[in-house]
Amino acid sequence: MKKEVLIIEDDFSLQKILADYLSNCGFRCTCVELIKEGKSLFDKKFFHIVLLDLGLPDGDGLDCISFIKSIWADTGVIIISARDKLEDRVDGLNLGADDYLVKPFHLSELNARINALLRRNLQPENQVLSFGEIEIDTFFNQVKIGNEQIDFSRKEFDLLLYFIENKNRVLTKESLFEHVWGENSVFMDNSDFIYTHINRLRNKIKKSTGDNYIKTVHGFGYKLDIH
Amino acid sequence: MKLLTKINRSYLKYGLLVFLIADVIIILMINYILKDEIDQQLRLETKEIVRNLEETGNFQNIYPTAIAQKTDKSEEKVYQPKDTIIYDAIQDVMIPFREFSKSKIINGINYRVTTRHMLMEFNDIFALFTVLISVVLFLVFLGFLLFTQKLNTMLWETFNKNIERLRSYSFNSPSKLELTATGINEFDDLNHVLSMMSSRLEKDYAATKEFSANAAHELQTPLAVIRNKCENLFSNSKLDKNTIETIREIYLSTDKLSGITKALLLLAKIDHGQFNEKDHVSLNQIFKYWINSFIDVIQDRNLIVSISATDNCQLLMDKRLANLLIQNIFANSIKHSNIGEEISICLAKDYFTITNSGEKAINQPDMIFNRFYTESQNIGSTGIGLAIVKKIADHYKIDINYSFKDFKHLFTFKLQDC
Repeated sequence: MKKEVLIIEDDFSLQKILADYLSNCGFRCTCVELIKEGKSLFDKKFFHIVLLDLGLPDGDGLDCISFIKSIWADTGVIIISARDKLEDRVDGLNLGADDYLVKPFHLSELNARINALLRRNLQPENQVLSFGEIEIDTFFNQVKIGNEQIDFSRKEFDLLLYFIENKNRVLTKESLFEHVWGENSVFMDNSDFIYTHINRLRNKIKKSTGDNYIKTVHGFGYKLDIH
Repeated sequence: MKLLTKINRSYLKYGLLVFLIADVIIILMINYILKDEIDQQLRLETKEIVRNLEETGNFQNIYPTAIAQKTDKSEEKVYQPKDTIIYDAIQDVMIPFREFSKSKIINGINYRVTTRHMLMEFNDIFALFTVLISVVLFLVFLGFLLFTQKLNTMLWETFNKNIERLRSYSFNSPSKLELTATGINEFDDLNHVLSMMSSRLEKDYAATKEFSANAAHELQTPLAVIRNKCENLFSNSKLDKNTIETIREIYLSTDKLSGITKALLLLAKIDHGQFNEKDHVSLNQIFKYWINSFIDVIQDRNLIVSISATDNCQLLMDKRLANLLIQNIFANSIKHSNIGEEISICLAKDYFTITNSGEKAINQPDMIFNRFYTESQNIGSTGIGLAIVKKIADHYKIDINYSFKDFKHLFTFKLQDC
């Protein structure tokens, strides 16, 4: 069954981009542009994830979080806002939002966050993702390649998980860097740095599978692909 | 100097002068009037003696107050009254007298008639008068001084209260500026002008604040659209090399633009005082935190980070700004360090320094803290990091000094109040 995502965002271009991208990722998306419209939908339907913009034409998205949570406690709320984290992130998380993404964000990052949020409510046995011969257990943070457990560092694990969640899709160096090193990434020149880390990860997988899973997409970045 | 003090001092200075002049004039006048009175009496007595001599040809002298002497000089003359001193043999003292003399020919005989009046009594009375008048005048003066002081304090009280309110007034506080009416036109006019000015400034302030926030926020959504469209294009495998280059440049410029607007908004927020919490922050701890969070990059570049502290470098400032300051200055050092070089951080009680190696000095060291100034050709370098450092340092009156020596860039931060 496809997971339901509600996008509350007043910019139509962004709304469309988000909906297209998430549909490709296997979600069923509903788009609204007003808080009022969003609220009227909650009575009828359960959404797994709500993507909530803050500055909306009929009010501040922050006011809507407790309403959503009062009806569907299991709905994951991710704030997507241009507003700076220094004040609003704290506010949003205090009000019950589950995550906060500052615009402009990478779509692959959004996908990773949605998946992480969805996994939070799952049983441990359902938290295993796989790609080819790779099996990644997000509950126990373990990686198995061809039934053999391989040690990965925290950062390597994060990178691999990010690749698997966005399999067959091109990930830019910037988005990889931002995903793993968070806000510190804006301070750094990332090109060489990410290269060494990707290389290390690539070699580890190659050693166990004999195959190059992480392909370089020239000029753009990297892609997890079997062929 | 306070206006009240100035007024009181002027009162004291000029009041004392006027009071002294008045005192002297009054005393001199009394002296003159009293002496004139005595002189008139002496003239009258002299007239009496002359009349007596004319009628009887004889006068019984009373020494030394009434004397009629025969003289050889044949003249008629009236002498000016004068002060004189006569020795009193009985009491063995010199006694002051007022003397009036007149030469006159009476019945063919030359006489010189002298009348005198003892001044002992007069001097006593005069002294008493002088003291009394001085005391009364002084009391009046003192009373006046106290009265004006009291009056001034009363009149200026509301004014001073309003000044206090203005002093504690800030654009950030939610309450509006409210000044108490004083009932004095001049002060109320001032209040009115100030209130109008403050509300106008408040409006302007709110407008600029809103503008910078809106500009930065509203830009992010279109930027997100551009960036995500680029990401979608990346999945298209049928692109030629030129197109790939172009898309990549659009993508990176979007990132840069987004970073710049965010940094500018941050600078504006610091200017607007939106980070004004006060925490005791330990720079030692903050440095350690950032070394830890940049550890991957540090290891990746084989950088050696050494931290030495002679004292705990403590500051009273907003924790978020303290973090931003250290994060930016530390990231700057990492960014501009060559592989395998050393970054040394030195902390003391009232200053801290951060040093990283470099091949050559900055071309224009004066420009280093300017917004958008960058000597690096790196596309990721916007030159705003050090501007943020400078802004935060200025906000807390921290003195930054940059120098280049022995192939090392050295930043020194002098703390004013720890």
